[in-house]
Amino acid sequence: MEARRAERLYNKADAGRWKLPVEVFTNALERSSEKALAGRASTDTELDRYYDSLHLQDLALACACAIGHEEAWDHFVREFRPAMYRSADAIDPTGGARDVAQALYAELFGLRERDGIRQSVFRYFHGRSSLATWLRSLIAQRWVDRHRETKHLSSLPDESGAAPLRAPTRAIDPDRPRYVAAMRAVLAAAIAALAPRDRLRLACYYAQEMTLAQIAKLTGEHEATVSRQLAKTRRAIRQDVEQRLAADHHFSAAQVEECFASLMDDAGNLDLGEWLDAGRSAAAQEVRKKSDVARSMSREPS
Amino acid sequence: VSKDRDRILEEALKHELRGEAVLTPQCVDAETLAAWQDGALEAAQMSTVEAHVSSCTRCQAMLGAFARGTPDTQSTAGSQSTVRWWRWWLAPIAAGAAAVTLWMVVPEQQELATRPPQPPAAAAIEAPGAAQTKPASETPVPAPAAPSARDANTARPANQERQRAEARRADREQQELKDAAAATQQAASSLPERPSLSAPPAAPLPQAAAGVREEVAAPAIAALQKSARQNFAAADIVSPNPASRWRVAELGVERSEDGGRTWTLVLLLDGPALTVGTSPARTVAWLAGRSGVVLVTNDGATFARVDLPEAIDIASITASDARTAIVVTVDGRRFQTNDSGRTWRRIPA
Repeated sequence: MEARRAERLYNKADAGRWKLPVEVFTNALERSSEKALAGRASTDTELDRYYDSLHLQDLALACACAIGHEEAWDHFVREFRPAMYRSADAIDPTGGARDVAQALYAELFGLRERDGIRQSVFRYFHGRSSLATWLRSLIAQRWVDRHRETKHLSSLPDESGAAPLRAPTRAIDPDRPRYVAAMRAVLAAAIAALAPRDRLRLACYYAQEMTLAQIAKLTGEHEATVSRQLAKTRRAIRQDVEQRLAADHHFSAAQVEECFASLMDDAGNLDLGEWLDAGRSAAAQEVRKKSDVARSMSREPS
Repeated sequence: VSKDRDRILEEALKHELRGEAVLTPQCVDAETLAAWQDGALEAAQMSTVEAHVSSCTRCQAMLGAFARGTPDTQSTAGSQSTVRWWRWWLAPIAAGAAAVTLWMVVPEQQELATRPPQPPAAAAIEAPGAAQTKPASETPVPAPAAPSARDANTARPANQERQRAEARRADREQQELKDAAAATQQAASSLPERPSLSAPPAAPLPQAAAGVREEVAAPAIAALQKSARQNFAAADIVSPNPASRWRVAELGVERSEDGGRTWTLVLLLDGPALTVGTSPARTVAWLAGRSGVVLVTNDGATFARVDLPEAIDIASITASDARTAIVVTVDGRRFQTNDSGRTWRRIPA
C-alpha cells in the first residue's frame, strides 16, 4: 500500500491512539480489500472509495486488541462487552447465547497461540461493518451453528407462540391424508418457484418472525414496500397453489376447497413435521422432474 | 374464500419455511452478514448473498438470531421518512386513540407532560427464568424525551376541535363496547375458553370521554402520539387500579403491581412492535401494534397472541374486558372481537 494512502487512513482511523504499528494497520486494510473486492483489479479511485467507506476507527481498535494492546482491550471491554451480552440475552433468553458470547469473548482475547503469536478472532474483522454489528453477527452465527450441530434448531422456532390453527369441527374425511400431501407438495413447489427476494422476505417474516422494519433494513426497502410485497407474494402463492392443485392433481373446485380445509384441520392436531417432510419430498421430486424436463428440452436442437 | 385461504396459507408458511439447517460452502460468514446489515455489500455481492440466503435455512436462522439480538432503536431511513409523510393523516387517528385511552394515564397525565420518561429500571426487572437481569455495568438505552410544555401549548388550539370530535366518537365507541359486552356476557357460558385465559372479572367500563380534561389533553395526546411511534417508550398502560400497570420496555412487556416502583418482565418480545394498549381491569391488558399484532392477558402475566386476520398496523385499541375489544387500523377500519380475539369482525366506522 502506498505510504501516503496508509498514512492518511491511519490518521483518519486515529490508530495512533493505540500506538498501532502502521504495517499492522495496512495489513488489515489489504486483507479487507482482498475479501471485499475478491481479488479483482481496482483503480486507485475505487480503492480509496472502498477504504474510506470502512469503519476505520473500529478497525484500528480491533487491530490493537488483536495484538494485545492493553488500553485498547480495556476500551473494548468497557464499550462493547455489555452490548455483546445484551445482544446474546436477546437472542436466547435462556442463556444459551450468553455462553456463546462468553466463549467468543475469550477467543477475541486470543487464548490460542500459533508460532508464539496470539490468535485473536479480531483478525477476521475487516471494517466493512461497525464492530458492534460484527460482534452481534458473530454471536448469531455461533449460536445458530451450535444449535445446528446439536440438531436442536428445528425445535427452536416453535417457541414463538404463534397461534395454532383451530381444531377440526367436522368429521374426518378419509381422503384427507391425500389432500394434505397434495397441499404440502404444491405449497413447497410454489415457494420454490418464487424469486429469491420474495422468498427471503417470506422466510424472514414467517420463519424467523422478523419485523417489517428489520426486513426493510436487510433488503434496503421501505417498510411499506416490504408489507406490500409480502401481501403480493402471499396472493401469488395462493393462486399458484390453486392452479397446481387443479392442473397437477386434477382436483375439482370442491376438492381444492377440501385441500385448504384439511390443512387447517390438521395443523393443530397432527404431527406437522411428518406432513411437511412428505410435502418436501414430493415437492423436491416435482422440482427435479421439472428441471429434468427443462434440461432435456434445452438439449433439443432448436 | 380467498381471505380464508390466505389465512390458512399464512399458518402453513410458518411451518413450511422452517427446515433443517445445513451448513454449505456457500453459507454466509458473520463478517459478510454484518457487512450486509450495514449496507456495505456491492449490488452483485448482495444479489449472490440474497439468492443463497433465500433458500438456506441455516443462514435464515442466522438472520433471525441477528435480528433478535439487534436493538430495536435502529430504524431504516425509509421507515423514518414514512412516519414523516403519513404523519399528517395518522395524527387524527392517533389523537382518537389518545382520547379514547386517556383514562389509562389519568393518574399520571400531569407528570407525563412535564417530566421525561424514566428509563427501564433494569435492576428491578425480575425476568421469568434465568439470565434476564442485566449486569449493573450496563447502561440502559436512553429513552426519548417527552414533549416539552411549549410544544404542547402550541399544539393545544389545533387539537381542541379534534378532541371534541374524538370525544364524541369515543362516546359512540364506548356505547358499542357496552352493547358488545352485554351481548358477550349473555353468550359467555356457551363459548369455550382459550387455555391461557380464564373468565375475566366484570370490569368497569373506561370513562374515556368524560375523563378527558382539555387543559391536560393536548400534552398527553402529544406524548401518546410520540409513544405510539416509539414502541411505548413513554406511557405506562395503567389499569383502573393505578397500582397495576404495564409497559413495553427494551426486552419486552413489563408489569408493575406497585404503581410503577418495580417492574417484572412478563413477556419477551420478538416480533412486531407494540404501539398501543389498554387495560380495562386490574389484571386485564390488551396490547397491539404493527402488522396486526394483538396480545391479551387476563391474569396480568400470561399473554395470548390474537392477531387481526391481516397484517396491518393498528392505530388504537379499546376494550371493556378480556373478551371484548375494538381496534382501529391505520387506514381507519375498525375490527371488533367478542371472544378474546379468537375471531375479529369488521364493524362500520
